[in-house]
Amino acid sequence: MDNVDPNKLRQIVEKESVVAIHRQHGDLGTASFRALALALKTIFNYIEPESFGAIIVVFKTLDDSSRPIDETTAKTVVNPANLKQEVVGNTVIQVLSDGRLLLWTGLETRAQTLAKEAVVYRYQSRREYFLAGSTETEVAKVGQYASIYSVPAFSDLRLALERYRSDRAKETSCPILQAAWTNEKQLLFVQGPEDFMRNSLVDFLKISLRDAETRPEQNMGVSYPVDIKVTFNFSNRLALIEIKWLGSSVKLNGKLVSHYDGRARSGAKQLADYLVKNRKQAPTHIMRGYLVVFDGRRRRIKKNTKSINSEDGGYYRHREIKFDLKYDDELEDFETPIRMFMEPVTEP
Amino acid sequence: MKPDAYYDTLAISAKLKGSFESVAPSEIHLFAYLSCLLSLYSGKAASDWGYGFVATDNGSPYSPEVDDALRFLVREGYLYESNGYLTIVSEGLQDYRELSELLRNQEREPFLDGSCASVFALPIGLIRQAISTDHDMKVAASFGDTRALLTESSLEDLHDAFALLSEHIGVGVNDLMVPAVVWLSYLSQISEVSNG
Repeated sequence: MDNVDPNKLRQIVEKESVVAIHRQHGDLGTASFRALALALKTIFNYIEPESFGAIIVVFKTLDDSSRPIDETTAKTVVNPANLKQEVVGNTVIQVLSDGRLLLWTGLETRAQTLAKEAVVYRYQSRREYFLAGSTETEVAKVGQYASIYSVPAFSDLRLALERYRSDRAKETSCPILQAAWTNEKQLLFVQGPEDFMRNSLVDFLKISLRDAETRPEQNMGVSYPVDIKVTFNFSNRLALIEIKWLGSSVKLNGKLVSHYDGRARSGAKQLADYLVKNRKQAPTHIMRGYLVVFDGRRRRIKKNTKSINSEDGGYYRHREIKFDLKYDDELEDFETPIRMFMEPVTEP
Repeated sequence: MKPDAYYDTLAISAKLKGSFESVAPSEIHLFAYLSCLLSLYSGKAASDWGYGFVATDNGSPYSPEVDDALRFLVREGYLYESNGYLTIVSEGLQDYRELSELLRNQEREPFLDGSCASVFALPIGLIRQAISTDHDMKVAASFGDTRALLTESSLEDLHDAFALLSEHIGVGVNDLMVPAVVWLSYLSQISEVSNG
């Protein structure tokens, strides 16, 4: 292995929540952390942190019988599915060893006071903190997720791509992808937006896809039309993802380049040809081809367009691409193409 | 079949059940390897672990002995396989509970427990990514070939690295989740830097 960087290691030790928790509360603290972490995964199954604007404090006391907040004023949650209705505004939750949650809303509480006898988690504005004793540590961000406890884990690539479409591409909520647009109105792409699209999708798949390695590939032109390669572990299965974008891009010389359905059709043909060729060359591999189309088309767009109304902005939202052939019916290794319409910011 | 590999496979399947309904075979190998690293961190010799690992051409750890155990457990119905993912069933959990009472297995528990508990602090995708940054894993992936892991030269480097890790974390940490999480975070951040 490569030599360890002692300074980097020291920095990580000083910032790492589990180290701080252990230093403050010992093995009892890390045992409480485990119970707390498991509860956080459950809570964020029902509460979407991305869209949650208030503060959530969740804690697990070192002594399970301890009740630092008056229990009689708490709602007891036995079925976590009820959290969706119960968590409104600022919320404090105590995790109990038997799986129950005690919940208070609209309560002013000092997390620092709780932390004297508990491991405390605080979520606020896409940032996460653990408090234990007198120490507070911030959780390092993983990818573009609001919480590390809401990172999905997919065993199915198609499901992962569909989640990427709704959570990342639709509103361009991924900062890597935001760089594909000339500005926050999301009307025109910059020159060469495909690099940002590929990097954003790789970033998402690397963390969220289980049992597979995701790697960006160098696109070598029409003979090798692959942007992302996903190799499934311990099997001969692999997936190739070809990315195409539709819409208008402003080149560095100021000219506007627009791509419509034809671009997606040529991408589909390229991928289909490659799959057929590969089937002969590497018959032992089970390969699946995915065409992912980032759709940023806008009606009546010009290079100096500064704003767009909802009618023109959303004109292509439901306009599916008609392919020359139903590749996904004709070729068993060609998956149904996935079009990801990217919403613009529209004017009334 | 190697009894240590059999026990570890059962134990990892049981421990991860709390976080994931089912696990991929590659994840069992991954956490078995991480458990082995934690035993090295605790000063044990690699040869004491009971079985070995190689890096696959995909850059992930693999043990033929764990693979044998997995096949056996599926065949005997202790692990249920569906769509390539495995779920431990009640008979498997019962066998795990009984075997965990043996002294030899009790000694392995802190390593298995520490490695599996890392999922409380880090997403599983990041754990896999971090482990794949190992030099031998990277070489195996780039050459598309398998490669032995924990060889004499890599063990020397690991001992140095873990001595430094232990020095920073401090002594008296019984919960091996702590060094596991720090080590994985370190590897993951180093990999981010090298990927630019």
